[in-house]
Amino acid sequence: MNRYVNEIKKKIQVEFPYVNTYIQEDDGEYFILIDSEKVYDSNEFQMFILDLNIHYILDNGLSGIFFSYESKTSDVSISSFTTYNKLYTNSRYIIADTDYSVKVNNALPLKEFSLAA
Amino acid sequence: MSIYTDLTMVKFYILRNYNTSAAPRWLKMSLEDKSNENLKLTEHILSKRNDLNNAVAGRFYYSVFQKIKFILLRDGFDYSGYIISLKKEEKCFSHGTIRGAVIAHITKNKKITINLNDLAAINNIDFLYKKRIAADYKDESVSDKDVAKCMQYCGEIIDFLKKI
Repeated sequence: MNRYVNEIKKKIQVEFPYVNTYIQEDDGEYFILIDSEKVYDSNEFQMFILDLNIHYILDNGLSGIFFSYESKTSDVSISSFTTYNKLYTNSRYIIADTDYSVKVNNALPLKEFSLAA
Repeated sequence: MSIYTDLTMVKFYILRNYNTSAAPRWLKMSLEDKSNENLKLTEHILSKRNDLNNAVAGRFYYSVFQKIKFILLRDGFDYSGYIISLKKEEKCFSHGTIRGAVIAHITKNKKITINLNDLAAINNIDFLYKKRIAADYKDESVSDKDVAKCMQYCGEIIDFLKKI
């Protein structure tokens, strides 16, 4: 398994040399992580992962390999994210023009947050 | 009434209800309904509280997981055959195989036509899974920001799954 994981890591490094890639092993599962949320959310990276899944991971009968990112800012207090909405301008699930620190009271009215059928 | 009699009556009640087509509603609930229930729970929690991030993160993940499992079962996906194609032992509908299974189902099922850009949404189940592990098993907490990302990804995946 390690060989495949390292191969995937190298593929990412070749295609996206400007992000750091690292591997976390957890109970036999492998998380391949990059350190950029922006790159992770990009169409290029998402399609790259999809292509890996379809033509590499499935073809090789692999499982237990996951892709994600570790944002360096993920543990920062949310109260500092005054421009938080910029991250989600394309998402109808996040209410724009508000400080996320007040999301519970003001920024997530039920009518806007309605995922269930 | 003795304890034995009580237990006998409970056993009788359970057997009677499992063996009848008119079982109480609480005995029957589809995975799709459970998926929706988890979404409603996240909605309910987030509308009232901001200190239950770990509970919410887990529900986002399971909402997606149950929805995918529902679809694979509904469509008769050969999960056992898919497991055999893997090079290591896995259980059907394990967390490590569910994403690959749904991708295999969609890409190899000629009856399903789907845009690859849309299919890419399914990638993010990995993010949800990672946060669910952190929430349930790690000595760490899921941040507010990550909860918002979970919400975004969950919504995108559920939207995509509705097209299948």
